[in-house]
Amino acid sequence: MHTLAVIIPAKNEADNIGRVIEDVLRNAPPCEIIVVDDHSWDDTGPKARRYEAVTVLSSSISLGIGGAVQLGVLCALARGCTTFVRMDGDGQHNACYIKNLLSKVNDSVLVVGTRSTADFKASSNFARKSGSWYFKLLFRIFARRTIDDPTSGFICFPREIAENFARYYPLDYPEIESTVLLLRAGYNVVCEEVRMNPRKQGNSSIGLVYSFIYMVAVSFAFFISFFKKNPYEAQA
Amino acid sequence: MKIALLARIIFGFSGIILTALILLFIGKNSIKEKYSLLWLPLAFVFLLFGLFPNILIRISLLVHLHYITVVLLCVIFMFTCILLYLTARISSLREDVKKLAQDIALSNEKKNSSQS
Repeated sequence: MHTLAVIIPAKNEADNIGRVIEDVLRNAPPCEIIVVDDHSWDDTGPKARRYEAVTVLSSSISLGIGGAVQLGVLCALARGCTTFVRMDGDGQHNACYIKNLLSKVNDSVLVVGTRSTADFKASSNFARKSGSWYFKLLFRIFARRTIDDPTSGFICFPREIAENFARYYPLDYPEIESTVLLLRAGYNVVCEEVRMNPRKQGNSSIGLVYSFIYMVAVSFAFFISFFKKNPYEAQA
Repeated sequence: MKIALLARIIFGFSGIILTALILLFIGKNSIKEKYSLLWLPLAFVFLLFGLFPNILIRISLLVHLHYITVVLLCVIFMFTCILLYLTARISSLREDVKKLAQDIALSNEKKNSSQS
């Protein structure tokens, strides 16, 4: 049993999941690898099961990204893990940076792996770029924090935050809302710059058409999360 | 102001049909009694307007609107309340379904790992 858990939510990532798991096995510190197959139509689950060291959780319905991450957290908590990393199943995140995230995490800190400035400039995805700028601006104005890439799905957190996530994790656009709720509960959020890969196979769920709806919905979730009853227990 | 007989008949029949449909659904176990209580007031209001059109005329004089506008506003308001309640129910059911699916996935995994 390892104290570090790497949670990889994956939906229809059969083309990428093997590469992601091998990357974690090779480049991450010893850890429990938990792949959450969120009711994929392709053989994401069977491909992940080929690796003996990997725990694969298959959901019988589509949980959404929030529900999938929460499922991974629940499993890792039951195994007694104390530190948790969440990375995407599409190969954008590099496991070699997990140790950088780990170096910054402590009992009251959520570490967000943010896209490095060089990668960000090189990225041709205008929608993604403008979205990141927009949310960074929102955080700076309303939360008075500088979080470079608040929509990043590459995060590291301690057991205390994991217990909060097990209790409540937003279903649809979890990153922004959970960050605001954590800040309100007195936790700290720090950024660690990492290099990220462009997607090799398939399409990101944040496409050009989808991005406008995404931004409106997440903005709404952002503002609401300042007023809603905070399900996260305050940092002692 | 008078309400045409045809309008009264329409209100009355709508109320009767709606009540009959609700009772039918309850009888077939298609709607839980709890939720039928959302719709029955709507049927009741229709019946009331059909049987006692004076109520409607008094309200319309009070708010200076034509009676059919009052009916429309009443129906829209009731529909909105019902839909809002149902949306809240859907959200909480979605949460329940999510928890259930997570529990199933966790126990399946436990079963698989104990077998291997």
